[in-house]
Amino acid sequence: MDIAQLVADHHQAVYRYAYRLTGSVPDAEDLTQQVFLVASDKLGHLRNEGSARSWLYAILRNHFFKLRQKERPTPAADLRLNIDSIPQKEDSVEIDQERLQLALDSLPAGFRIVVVMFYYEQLSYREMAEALDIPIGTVMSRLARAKGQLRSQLLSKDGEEDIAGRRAEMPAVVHSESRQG
Amino acid sequence: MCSDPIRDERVIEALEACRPGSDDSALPELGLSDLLAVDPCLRELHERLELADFQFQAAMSDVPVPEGLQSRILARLSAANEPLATTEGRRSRRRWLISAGGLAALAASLFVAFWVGMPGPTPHDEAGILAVVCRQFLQEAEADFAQGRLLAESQPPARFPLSRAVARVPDIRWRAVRGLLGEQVIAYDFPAAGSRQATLYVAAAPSSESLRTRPPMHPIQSTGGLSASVWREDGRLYVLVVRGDIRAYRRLIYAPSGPLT
Repeated sequence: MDIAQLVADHHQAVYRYAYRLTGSVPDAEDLTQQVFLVASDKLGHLRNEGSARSWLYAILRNHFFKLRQKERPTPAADLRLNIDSIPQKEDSVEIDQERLQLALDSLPAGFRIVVVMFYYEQLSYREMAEALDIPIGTVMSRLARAKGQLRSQLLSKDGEEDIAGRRAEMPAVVHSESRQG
Repeated sequence: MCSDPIRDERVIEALEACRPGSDDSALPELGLSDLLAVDPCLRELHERLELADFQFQAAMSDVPVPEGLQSRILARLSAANEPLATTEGRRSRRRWLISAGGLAALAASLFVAFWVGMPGPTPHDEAGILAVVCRQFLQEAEADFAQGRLLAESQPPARFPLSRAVARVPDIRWRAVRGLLGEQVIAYDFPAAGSRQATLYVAAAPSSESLRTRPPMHPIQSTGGLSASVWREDGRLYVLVVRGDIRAYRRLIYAPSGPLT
C-alpha cells in the first residue's frame, strides 16, 4: 500500500478523530499531517491493510499525548460518576456539535481520550487498556466519569448554563465563522 | 417505578463500559448479567444508557472535514521529502524531519544568519518562512516599533488587514516593511508595557498553498525566547512572532472554530 492511497482512504477519519481530541481545526489538521508523516516513514511496519486505520489511530494517539504531556494530570476524583443525567426513554436527545466539542475540551486529556476511543473508535474497555497501556480499572473509572461529565454538560440544565457561559467568554470571531464540510 | 438510585460504583462503571449495540453486558468479568436478570430497574437504566450512547456515538463522528485537506497532506509529505533529496535516502530524510522538526527550524535560522542582507529566494515552507521572519523581528529595533502609526488613528492599506484570528489589543501600531519575503509587508506591532510584545507580518499573497489556514494554538516554532506561527488567510500570508512562551503566544490567538479561508 502506498502512502497516497493511505491518505486517500483514511485522512477524513483521522482528521475527525484529531478534531475530537484537539478541539481545534488547525491543531487537528496539523496532527493529521503529523500522523501521515509518521505513517509514511513507517509504512513498512504495516503488514495488514485491514488494520491500517487502527494503526493510524494509534499513531495519532501517541502524538496527541506527546502534545499534551505537559498538562497537569487530573485525578479521577475530580470528576464524578453521574447516572442521573441519563435521559428518560421518552426524552428526545439532540446533541449540539459545538457544545459536544466544548464539553470534550473541558475533560482532562486522559479522560477525553478514553471517551473518544469509546464513542469514535468503538473500542472495548479491554482494548483501550491495552492500547493506552493502563490498568482496566483506570479505563473503566475514567470512562464512566467522562461519560457522566459529557451527559451532565450536554443534557442537563446546569450544563447548558455552564457551556453558555463559556461560549460568552469566547471571542466573537469564534461565533462569526461557519465550519466547512 | 424505579426511584432508588444505584450507588454501587462498580456497577455504574460496568454499565458505562458497555458499548451500545454490543454484548458487553454479558461479559462475566463485568458481573452485570445476573444483576440485569433480576433487577428491572437496572435493566431499564441500562437500556436508557444504551440509547444515549447511540446518540453520542453518532454525534462523535459528525465532524466536517476542511476542504483540500487531502492535497495539503500530500503537499506536506512531498515537501518533507524534498530538502535533503541530494544527500540522503528517502527513509532517513523523513525520519530526520519528523524527529527533529524543531531543530530544522533552528538550523534554518542559523543558515539565514549567514546570508544577512543578501537577496535570496522566498521560502515556501513553514520553517523557512519563520526563520526569515523571526530574524527580521530580532533585527528590528524598538525604534521601528515606535515609528509605526497607531491603528486607531490611521488605517493601513486594505490589502493588508489584521488577521481575524489575532486579538485586538489597545495601541496596535502598523508600519511597512520592504524586502521581507520578496515583497511588501505590513507589520502590526502589539505593545506591552511600553515595548513591543509581538509583531504580525502580513504579506499580500501566501508563498504556498500548503500552509495551514489558521494559527495553531501551539506555536509552530518556539526558540530563542520567541514563539511564532505562519498561516494563510483570505489569500494572504500571516506570520506572528511573539516574545515569550506559549502563554504569551496564546494571549494573542483566538481559539478557533473553523478555517478562516
